Amino acid sequence: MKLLSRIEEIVLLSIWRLQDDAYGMTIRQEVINATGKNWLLGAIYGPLGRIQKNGFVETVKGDPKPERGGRAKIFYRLTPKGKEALIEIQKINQIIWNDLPSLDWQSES
Amino acid sequence: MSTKDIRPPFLASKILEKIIDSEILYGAMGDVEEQYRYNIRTHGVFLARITYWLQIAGAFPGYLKMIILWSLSMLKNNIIFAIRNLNKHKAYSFINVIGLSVGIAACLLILLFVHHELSFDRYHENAERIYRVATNGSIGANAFVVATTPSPMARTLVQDYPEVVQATRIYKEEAQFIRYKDKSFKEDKFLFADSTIFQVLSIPLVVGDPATVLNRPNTVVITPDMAFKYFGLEDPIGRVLIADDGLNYEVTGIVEPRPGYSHIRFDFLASFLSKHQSQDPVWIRFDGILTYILLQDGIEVETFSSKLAEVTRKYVGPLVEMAMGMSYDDFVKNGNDWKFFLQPLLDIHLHSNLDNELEPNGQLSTVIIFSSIAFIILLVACMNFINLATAQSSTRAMEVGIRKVMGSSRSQLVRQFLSEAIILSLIAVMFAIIAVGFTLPFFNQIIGREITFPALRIWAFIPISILVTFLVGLAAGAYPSFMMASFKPVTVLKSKILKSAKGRSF
Repeated sequence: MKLLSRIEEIVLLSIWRLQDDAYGMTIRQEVINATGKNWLLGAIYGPLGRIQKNGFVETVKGDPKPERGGRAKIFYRLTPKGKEALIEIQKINQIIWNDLPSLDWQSES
Repeated sequence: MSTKDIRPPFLASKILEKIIDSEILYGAMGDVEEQYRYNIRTHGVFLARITYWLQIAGAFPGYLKMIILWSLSMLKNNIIFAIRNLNKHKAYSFINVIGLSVGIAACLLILLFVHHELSFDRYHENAERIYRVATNGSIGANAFVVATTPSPMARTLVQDYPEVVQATRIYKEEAQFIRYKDKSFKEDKFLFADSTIFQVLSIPLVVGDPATVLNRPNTVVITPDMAFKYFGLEDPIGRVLIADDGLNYEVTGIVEPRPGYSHIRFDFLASFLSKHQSQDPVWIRFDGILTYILLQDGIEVETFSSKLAEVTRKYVGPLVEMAMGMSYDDFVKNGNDWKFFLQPLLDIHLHSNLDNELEPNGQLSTVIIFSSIAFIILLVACMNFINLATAQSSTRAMEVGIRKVMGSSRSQLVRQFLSEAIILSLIAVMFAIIAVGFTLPFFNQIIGREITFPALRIWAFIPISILVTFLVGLAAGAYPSFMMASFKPVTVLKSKILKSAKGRSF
């Protein structure tokens, strides 16, 4: 199975963290909080579109809102396949981070 | 805050709608608008708008990449289908390509000729500042306009007028026999010139120094062809040619063969000093001496050519008095006239048709007529193409029907048929270029010119060929493409197309 890319992983985790409130705006905010970098709204849609195409997320239409120009929010929700992918990447992360010498340069001296 | 400000910029949101992937369009547009309103609340309308536009700018490169990728893959697909189709209908493709390429070849030949006619003398470095002095006048009932001028003209102009940087004379005699040892040929392209010719005209030398090759009597520079003709592989420099006029000419230099087209064509260019005419002081003889002058940069030609009247009065006047027994003023008063005038070098080939020209010149009207003929030939070739393509359209009807049923749009079909037409025209253009290459020598014989295939100036030629390819392809392919693309799938799949095709007027 193809591994998630880092940004896909971050977006998926943001969606999972946001649970029922995951749509473009909030996902972007989460990604910004996590990375500390200012992501343009448009930059979220690249990975978002990819994980949607791969079947990791599904979309749910909310109620139309006037502040969105009369459009409904499109909420994203993890699919079982998405959860599996996240669990797998978590395992991999644990394995590759396990039993490493410390990266803290101060402890060496 | 007015409602207008709350809405995102209209143009920008339209652009955004166009370039966003349709799958995520709905949600993304909502998000973008929500973000925009949030920005208005926190940063104000102005900054919000700027951010909005910046976001669009950021989305653009990706969008462009998508467009290019898709159109490239569609193009590849179209080309594959076009080639398959041409293969399938070999006879049809063959007739069509041959018809088109003959038309294009004829058109190309004519355009080469037109280009040749228009490019005369343009290669001279200072072509815009070079003029030929010519004479017109009328004495009694005899009017004359000649390209030649009296022998002292060149020297006098350089001495008297600082505007004239340099002047040179070219002199032509009847064709004569030239001998070297046992070889003897009649040469008609034997010109004489002052050594200053290299400063006025651009005549590059392969061998020899322009400053010295012609500055003493009985010297000549020749073309490589002539060097080979007379001396074979021997070194031509220093060898002596014997001419019919009783003079010996020592070869002092070799000119570059054909640096460009010029109305001054020669195989031999001998020093004018060899001839007694070069020293002739008389102002009323026209022995076939042409005078070319190089004016200073920025001189107004009108002003300068009006000064030529002084030359007439000062130098021709006394001679008129001597010959006709009346003063120059009386000479003019009696209705006689004597004028020198300037002809721009670039106008000589197409606009000048005087007595005593070096060789017969071209005519502007010929160029115009030939250009229109070329255009008409191309048009007829396109018509032929349209005819054939339309006649053959019924065999493609089923394909169109199937394609439409499979979801092909009209514009996609049009694009496919157009690519076919353009590929046909590309093949035709290639054939035409080859055909022109083969027929050019015969064409040259017919028109008596030395047109070369512009293979050396290929960088100008390739874009033109591509342009012709596309123009012909589009012109010829447009009608059949739109016609075929408009077939109704239901009708053609029930194979009623033959009936309706019969009803068409084309």
